[in-house]
Amino acid sequence: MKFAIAPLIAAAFTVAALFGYNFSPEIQATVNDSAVLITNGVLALITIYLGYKGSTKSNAEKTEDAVEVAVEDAVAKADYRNAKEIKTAVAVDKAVDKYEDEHADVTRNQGGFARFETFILLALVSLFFLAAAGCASLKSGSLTPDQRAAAVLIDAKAVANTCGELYSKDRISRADASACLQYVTQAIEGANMAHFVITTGSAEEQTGVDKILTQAEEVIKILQQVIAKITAEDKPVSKGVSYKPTQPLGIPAQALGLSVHPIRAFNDFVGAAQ
Amino acid sequence: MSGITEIGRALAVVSDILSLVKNATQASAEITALISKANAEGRKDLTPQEWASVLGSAQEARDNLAAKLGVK
Repeated sequence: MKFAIAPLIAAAFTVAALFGYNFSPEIQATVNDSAVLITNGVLALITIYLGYKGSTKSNAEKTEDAVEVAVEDAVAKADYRNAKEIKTAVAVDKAVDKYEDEHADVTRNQGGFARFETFILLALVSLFFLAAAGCASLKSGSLTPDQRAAAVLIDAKAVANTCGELYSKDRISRADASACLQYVTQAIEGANMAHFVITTGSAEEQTGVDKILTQAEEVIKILQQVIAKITAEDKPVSKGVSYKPTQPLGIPAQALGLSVHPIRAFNDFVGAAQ
Repeated sequence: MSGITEIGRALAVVSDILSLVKNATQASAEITALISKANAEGRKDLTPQEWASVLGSAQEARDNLAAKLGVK
């Protein structure tokens, strides 16, 4: 059975990404940049179209594949005469298939999505969701520093909950869950440090707050993106073999450089930001 | 693999994605509510009570994850 439900699911996610957030006036108040949502929606549609087009094969392409296998099989058996006959016979079929592909619009509906491609698409669409959610939660330009610190904490809570759910469902390894815990902890510490400086520091010390918050936000943002990707993959950790303990959660070195880890001495941290 | 199994696994993934989106959306709504309240009261910063609530909530989620992993 072909997995024909995938395009419907992907389309539903796209529509929701385009319009879903309009249902919430609270989020609307924060997500002012509707162009971001529209752009993401258009990108999602293009991705889905290209994914669908790329994952299906025309009749001519299918025939060509079958011919290659048959000919290779015949040649492997030293049945050169049969191989030649196959080639001759299928030449006619290929011509017919080519004509049908060029003149019929039904041939594209036979392939459906391969499972891998489906999950890649779902991963992309879910990333669009997070981008939209990120507009609300990490739209630092419209928030005061203290509000940004609070936003980091709230997002850190969501990330911690999601990591816990994924770990409970055996979707991420213990090493990855531990990495998630580590970075969530760092984000919380960064936000707490920022709040501490905001409420108690001098004007000079407060100039470092933006850097502290940006680092904490970056950690959370990358965690959200990686988790979204993992969530959209059909890869229970007990069956998967591609997890690499040396690269927990796939967080790139660049992101680690931006993180607030290791937490330095307070004066060093604020001093470095100035 | 049968088609039904395939669809079942896909639905499981979709369910996880919806859970993820729910968490993210709840976070967004929570942030917006907090900001709206502060703006309505003419404040730029959170009150100590608000901060304690947000921090406590985040630390609780962090501690829950740590408990699942059996660490502090």
